[in-house]
Amino acid sequence: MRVLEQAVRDKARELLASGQVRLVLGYQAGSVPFRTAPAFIRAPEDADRLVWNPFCSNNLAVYLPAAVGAGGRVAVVAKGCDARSLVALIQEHQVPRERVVILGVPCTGMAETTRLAGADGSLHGIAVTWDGDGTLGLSDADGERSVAVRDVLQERCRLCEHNTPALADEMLGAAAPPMPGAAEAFAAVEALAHRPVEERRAYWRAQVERCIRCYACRAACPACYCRTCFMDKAAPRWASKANTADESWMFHAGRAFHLAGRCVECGECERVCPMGIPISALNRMLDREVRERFGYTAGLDPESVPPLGTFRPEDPDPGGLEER
Amino acid sequence: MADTRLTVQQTAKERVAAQTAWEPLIVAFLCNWCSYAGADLAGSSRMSYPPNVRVVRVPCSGRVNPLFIMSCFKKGFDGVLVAGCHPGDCHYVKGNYYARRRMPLAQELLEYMGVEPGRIRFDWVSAAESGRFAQVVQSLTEQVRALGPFAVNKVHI
Repeated sequence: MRVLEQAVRDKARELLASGQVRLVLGYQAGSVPFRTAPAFIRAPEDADRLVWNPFCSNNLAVYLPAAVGAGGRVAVVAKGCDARSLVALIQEHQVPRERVVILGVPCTGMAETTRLAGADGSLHGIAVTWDGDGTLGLSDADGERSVAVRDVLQERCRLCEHNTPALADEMLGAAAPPMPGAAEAFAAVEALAHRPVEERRAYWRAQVERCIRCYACRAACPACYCRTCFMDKAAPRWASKANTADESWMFHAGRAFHLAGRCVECGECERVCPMGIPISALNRMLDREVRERFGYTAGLDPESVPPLGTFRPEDPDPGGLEER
Repeated sequence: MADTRLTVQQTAKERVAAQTAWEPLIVAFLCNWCSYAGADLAGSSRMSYPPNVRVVRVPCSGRVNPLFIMSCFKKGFDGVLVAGCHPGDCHYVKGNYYARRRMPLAQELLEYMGVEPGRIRFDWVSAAESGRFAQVVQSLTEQVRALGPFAVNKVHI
């Protein structure tokens, strides 16, 4: 049965009751089915509000700097991607290691809710149950059906290479099996990179043109912790407030570069985008480059230095780049 | 006093005033200690190179934020040159080493987003290499001329 969910609740209760942490960051049932909401649990008796199911999409690491800043130790329920974000935050001195308790949850992927819709294409009127073991039970007016989470994964989860947390103080459960698409994590990025340059320009122009600059991607990103984003600066004014394709191009290019060698590909930017812009393709492309050039993967080792914050005298010279 | 700031309006005016065929406009970020001195020497040695570059003097190639490059393209420039001291010669010991990691990566990102790699050049020019400076500007200008005008917002297919 739902062993992991129980383990999360028990651990949270124990940590709060013993006073080891001030706050537990986890997931609670959302206001609608197929959704969870971030939970901020401060009392041991509230621990039973915590849930664990294939709808725990949010990356909770985004709340951590503020939660730790408010004082005390904070425990975080962390999937593989969240744990990598936590590693990056520790590495970049945004949160002191000793103030975080990482409750690692081996993740088997989150479900893409749109793929659970009924015949009418909507989720309305569908009740959902989860056996805690990879199968969702759906029931609506048409009857009941069961769906394997593995068949309806979110794309970012299907491609995930580190679904078992890389760093955890306490692992709640055994390591999860690798995700089905882990070997082809960069396939889509490669495909676009091989298109002619004019086509890529047209593609990205069409994508950024749809951006409404709500900055949801920035708000959801644990690595976007700058106090003042370059987009909000008045001097230098990198981009104007005008919502034109030029300015949005600047935003997406600039943001992607700021995440170079730091992005852990949790894919939250893309999930929260109301316009469906494939934002994480830029991050993924840079991640692939960083791996090739510097042999570095973000969010795995809290002791390492991000690749753009260091150098080696024997790094390759730009000569080869000139005549391509 | 004449306004010497490098602005889009100014470049647009330049283009209108010229009333001639399109000429590539290139921004050159030159490090104060080597490449700017190299460009200066090229000038005082009466070397000729294409007048398409607009020089911005920066303390170090490590000072060049990739946002500078993106900003140039956003504002309608056609090419960007970043030049600094040779590795090992940095006035600040290691600024150019950081640039050497950053610049090619920025170039890759922009290439992925549809900016031809030939529009961006990252190179070393020492204070003595006036000839090399002239040569780099010459070859970049020709390269950018061949690629044609660039505008983020305009799709040339």
